[in-house]
Amino acid sequence: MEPVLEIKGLKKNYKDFSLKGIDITLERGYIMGFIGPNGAGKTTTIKLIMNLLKKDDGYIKVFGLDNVEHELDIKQKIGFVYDESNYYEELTISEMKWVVAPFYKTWDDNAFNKYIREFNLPVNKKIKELSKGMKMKFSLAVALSHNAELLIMDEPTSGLDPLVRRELLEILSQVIQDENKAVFFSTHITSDLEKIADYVTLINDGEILLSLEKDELLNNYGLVRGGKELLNDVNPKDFIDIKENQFGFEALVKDKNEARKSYRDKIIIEKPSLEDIMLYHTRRYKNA
Amino acid sequence: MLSLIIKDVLVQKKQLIFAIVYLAFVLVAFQGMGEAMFPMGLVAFTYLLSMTACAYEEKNKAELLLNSLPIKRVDIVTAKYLSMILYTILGMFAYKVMTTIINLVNIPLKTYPLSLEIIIGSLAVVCLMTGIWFPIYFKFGYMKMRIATFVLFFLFFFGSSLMTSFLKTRQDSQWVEGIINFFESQNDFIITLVLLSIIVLYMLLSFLLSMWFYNKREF
Repeated sequence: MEPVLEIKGLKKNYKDFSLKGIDITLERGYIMGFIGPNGAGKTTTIKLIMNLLKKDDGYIKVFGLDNVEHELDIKQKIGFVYDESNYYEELTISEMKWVVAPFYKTWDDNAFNKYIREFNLPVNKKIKELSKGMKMKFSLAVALSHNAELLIMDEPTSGLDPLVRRELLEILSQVIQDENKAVFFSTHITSDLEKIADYVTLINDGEILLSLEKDELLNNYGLVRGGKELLNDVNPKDFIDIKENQFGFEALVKDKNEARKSYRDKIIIEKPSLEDIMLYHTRRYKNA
Repeated sequence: MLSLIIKDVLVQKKQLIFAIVYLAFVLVAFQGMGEAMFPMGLVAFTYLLSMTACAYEEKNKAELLLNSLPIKRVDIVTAKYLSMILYTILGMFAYKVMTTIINLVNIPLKTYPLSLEIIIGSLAVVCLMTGIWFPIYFKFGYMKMRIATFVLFFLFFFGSSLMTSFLKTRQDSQWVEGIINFFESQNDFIITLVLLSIIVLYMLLSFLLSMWFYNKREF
């Protein structure tokens, strides 16, 4: 079966920023976390997938179909949640549903009502009266009520309290029980992904730095600590980036077993977090 | 498509009431204008509602939403043109109801019936304005269009008075005379037909231009 999302050589040029020919592949049944600092190109990539921006080169296939040529068919099966609610603030939840639902051929009113109840959303309240968390939940309810096979989320957790974030993550892990579905989730809050992502793709300054299975990433990479005296002996090429401090250094290695072999008991190796991996990678980039 | 038009009305329920009150105000306050008061009121009515609908799109960043839903861009553009026609009909209907009430209750106000002439004339003025606004809106968005509208209004009002005085001084010139002769020699039906065709053609052109701009827009 073809991947849910396949991006090859995608380019988009702006005056001060460009997406430099990126590749991403996401199979059904998985959640991919799309991480990177602000301005790295996450939203640009998502807007290109949704045909909100015109690409300069490369291709994007969703469900095996070209995203521009088959735009409407594809969008029937995409659920989206953006970082800001783009729903009309003057309308109530039920009015807004009434506007959006007719566009989806497979709109499921029962599913929508179920989510509204589950999320405790007040149907007769105007959207501008909802909290940020409630707005996100409303977007999510719409995204989940038309049998979407791909959920695209652009920083859905930014600005939300930990409770709502946890709730969202729980819902996503429920959604992904259906092996036909996939989730593409951009964020800079990497701790969200440690709980649910199957794959992690790191983007920085318009380039994909890595795209790997999360467990492989967290098991192979290592956060290394060593004393000052070692600094002169280490080969900088062994590390993704080195951070010196008062007592010695801290560095990220791609293969902790290799590092253990080379430096033995001169170093301490710890399991890095996704945040460590993101920070070291993007900093190397800056220092280079 | 229908839900896009209904959405435009739903987001501005309050403005709709305000626009109707405004129309009533025009009816009372511009008694001195004679027959021209209705076209003027209608243009303001349609302007208010069309612009407010566009303003809400921008305020809510709703273009991101609309273009992420399975909607063709042509439908988004068409819906805006159709809602403009809806407001025009709504304005005419409101005017009709108001004048009927005024006459029934014998309120001492002068009213003018909605003759074909008045309807076509109003339609022409409404189309002349919106036919320029919409392409600008679909190309640049609401904020920039507001500036353009401001300029346009001035050009329109100064332009029309300049045009009138220009025509008056050139009454003897051949082409002005030709046009006047043409209209004088035809019956009302032909004139209506010609004017309607010009309006339709003009709006079609405006629509195609809007479509072309909107297809190229990035959000």
